[in-house]
Amino acid sequence: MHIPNLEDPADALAVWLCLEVLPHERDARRWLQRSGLRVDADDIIQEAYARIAALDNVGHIRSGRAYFLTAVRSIALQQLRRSKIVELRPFCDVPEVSIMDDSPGQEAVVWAEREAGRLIQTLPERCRSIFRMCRLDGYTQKETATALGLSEGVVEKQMAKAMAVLTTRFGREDSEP
Amino acid sequence: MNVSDRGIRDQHRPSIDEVAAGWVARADRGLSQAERIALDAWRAADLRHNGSYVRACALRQLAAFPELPDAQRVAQNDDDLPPSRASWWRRPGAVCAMAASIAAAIGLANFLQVPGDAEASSDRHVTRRGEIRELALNEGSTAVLDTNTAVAISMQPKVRSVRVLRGDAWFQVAHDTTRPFEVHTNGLIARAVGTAFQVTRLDDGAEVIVSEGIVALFHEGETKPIMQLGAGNRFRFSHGRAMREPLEAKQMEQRLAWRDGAIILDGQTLASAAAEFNRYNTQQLTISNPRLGLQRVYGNFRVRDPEALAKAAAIAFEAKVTHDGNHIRLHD
Repeated sequence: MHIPNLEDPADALAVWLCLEVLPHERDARRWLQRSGLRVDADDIIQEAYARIAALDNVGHIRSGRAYFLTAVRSIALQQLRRSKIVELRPFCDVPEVSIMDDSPGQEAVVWAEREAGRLIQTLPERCRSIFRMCRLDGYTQKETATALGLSEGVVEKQMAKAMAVLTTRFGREDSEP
Repeated sequence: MNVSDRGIRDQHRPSIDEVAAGWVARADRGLSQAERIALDAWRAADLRHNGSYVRACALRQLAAFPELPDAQRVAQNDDDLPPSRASWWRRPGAVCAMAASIAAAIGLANFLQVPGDAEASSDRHVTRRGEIRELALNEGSTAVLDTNTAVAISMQPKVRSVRVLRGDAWFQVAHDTTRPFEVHTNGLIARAVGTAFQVTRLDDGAEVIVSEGIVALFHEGETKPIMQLGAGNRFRFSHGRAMREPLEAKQMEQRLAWRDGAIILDGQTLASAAAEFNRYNTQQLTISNPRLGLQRVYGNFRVRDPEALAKAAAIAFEAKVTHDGNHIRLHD
């Protein structure tokens, strides 16, 4: 169980991203799709997270949503400008990012929370139970292994599997019911 | 849908997001020294690796909160288990509750801020000829600098201030009524709280084009605004004369196309089209024949490709293209 320690910069960043950016990732992916740019959405999203991670601090960012969406647009266009293949679509077709779209932050956070819960529900039963013990009930992987009579390796593997469902499906349109 | 159906196990090469998931699972149980080194190396190897890893850490945090419907427990007897340590936050809406409590207790924004960083600092950004640069300002706004432009950005507690020292820039301003966003150039101030507009420094004045919302225009040092300029309008202050004129959607698009590396020619002369290209490129396009220069042209081009314009014009007007060092010459 990883209880966030806010004095650790990595944990503080994770909590901030969890509240300010993850809830808006779906909109960023939608924008990328709507833009018609032939770019790899996962690459762009990862680079946008890396851009935030590279900042000394995020205290100045008033709107995580605006910052993230702007970064996504800028990275996508940068990538397009670098590409050697001539883009035949006129460039001015690339839509603006609707930063001002006032989807209330609170609602987006609630959505993100539900979406994570929904994805966990899709896990096979054993995987879900192990994930639940480690992530929600507060047991360590070692305690979980002992309690369930499994090896620690198995518990870690199931955790990785559960995390992979979150990392590969969260915020993706095709993963929605 | 069953997870195994989605091929997460069957894929030969795991995606970056899957590798990141594996690292988070390992970090969850504690990393050995060797693993820590390996993780750091993996994160440093590619920007996307690091992005994917911090995202996965955030997702792990997110997944610590949801209240799941009472799924079947693997262990039948709760006495087998050590007491639960985290039940206190297993409540519906826990993320929001947690956000509120963190914000109340320490102030997340303050907490994450490096001491001394709150002071105003002026950042200077310069683009070379042909360079178009997008700046994500850390309060959420965006500035896009056109070719051969210089700006100084100074974020102060009460005002967000940008000076256009040369060239032109477009701004998408993050909404904040308590902290107006001001762009200064040649004695003119454009003030906004949340809108999008372009400011051009002219030799003897300034030009402001508003694409979204409303911008208040001031003369530097005066408190009474000259006017409120709404979306779809251009304000020009030059030779001591001020002029406001509405722009059609098409003209607006044309005036802002540079941000995406495009030039939209909309019935202007070939000579002025060439001049526009020459602002962005070291390779200069010259039109030797004045009659040719007065031809009006339409079309969409990339700013970095004057060659394409020369070729298109040569075909359309039966002219010839000659290359001479850094010059492309269009002639009869």
